[in-house]
Amino acid sequence: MTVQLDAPAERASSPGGPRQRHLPGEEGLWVFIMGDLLMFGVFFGVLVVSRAKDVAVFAEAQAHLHVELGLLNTVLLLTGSWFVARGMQALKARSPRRTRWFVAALATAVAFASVKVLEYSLLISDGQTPADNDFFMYYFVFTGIHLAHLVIGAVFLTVLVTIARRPQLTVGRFRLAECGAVYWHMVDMLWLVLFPLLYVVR
Amino acid sequence: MARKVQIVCASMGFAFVVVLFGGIIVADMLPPFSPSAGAEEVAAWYQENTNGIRFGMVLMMFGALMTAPWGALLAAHIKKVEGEFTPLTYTFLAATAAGCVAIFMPVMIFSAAAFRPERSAEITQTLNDMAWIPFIMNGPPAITQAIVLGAAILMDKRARPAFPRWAGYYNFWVGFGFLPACILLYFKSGPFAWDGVLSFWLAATVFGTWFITMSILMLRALPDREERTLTDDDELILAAQ
Repeated sequence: MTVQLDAPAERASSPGGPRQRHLPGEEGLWVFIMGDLLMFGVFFGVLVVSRAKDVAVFAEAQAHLHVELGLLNTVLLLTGSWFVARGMQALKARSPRRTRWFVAALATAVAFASVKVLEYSLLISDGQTPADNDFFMYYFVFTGIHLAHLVIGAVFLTVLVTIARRPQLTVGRFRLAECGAVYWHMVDMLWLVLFPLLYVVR
Repeated sequence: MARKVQIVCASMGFAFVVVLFGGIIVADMLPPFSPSAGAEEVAAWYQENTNGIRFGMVLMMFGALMTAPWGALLAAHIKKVEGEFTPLTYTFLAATAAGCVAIFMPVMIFSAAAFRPERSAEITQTLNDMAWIPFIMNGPPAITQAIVLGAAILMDKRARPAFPRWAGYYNFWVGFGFLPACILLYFKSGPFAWDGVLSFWLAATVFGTWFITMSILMLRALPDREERTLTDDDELILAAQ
């Protein structure tokens, strides 16, 4: 049995039917996504408020961060998101190259985590620890929570690889793949806010 | 009868929130006592609020056990999803029991602290730490409950599942919400301290709304009313005039 996956196009062409918008993954997943964004929104708010109270300490501590490594990680995540987007297109099109997009995305996840661990060890060997001041407390805790999200995302990407490798694509597996892709884009997006707030803001 | 039992169990979530947070307010624990306070300050708080704290603790002690029927009904729903072989149900029940203790145990220590508030200040401060730390850091039972329940909801392949699928994802998010409190040992002030925005206020809000949300969902999942079979008790003593 084959199922038409690009359902929106199909519905659009059906006579009389209104064009329906396709929500990636499933509705319920967005409860989690919005909830998580809300929680990180609170984190960002806490960070901005604490910074305003103690700008000098924050600016001094911020100078110890390795901006180039943060930028490298930003590029890695953006590239990873692009790989996942291309992978989803390839998955839908049943392209023979579909698996390698997800493997490439998984590689960016591993690279991000390695750079993060390198950054942590550079900071700690430089004498900067979470106990030093509020800035480093926030830096380690928030990037740590983000890293935990990224590790879960990497597990999801592994699932995407196994889905892509299978010769048959079912509706259920495609929905699961979409959930994984949406989650991965969220991990990327959270970093895109975290990076300027921690590394760049002056 | 089954329907009525379910209504009582499900409603325990509402009762729990009212009694637990009511007890917290009666004990003057909202906002929480700062972990950066000195021993004399802590002792003075127990000396000035002795009876409020004692009454609040009696309320919270009963509140702790209200989570048991709430968790038991959820466990019964998980069992329906699992069928005959039910490891998730048992994990959920174990976590529910641990969750009762996670509230009960610190409440007992608060009670002991308020029993002789005139003792030397350092001892009261020690008791105060021993109560506040587990009371706020006790995330893992609830995190386990939320993840197991979330997984079971998403695994439900019945034609009429008990809970909507978004509730599964919601439970995963709830689990995340309890994480910041796990690092409170490192802080005596700021958002991760036991009175902080993330350790206390975020976790307490997520915790309270979680109980209420699952109570509402369990009430929506009640079985249809069944026809009652008449028994001897239904025999008429006096017919209508």
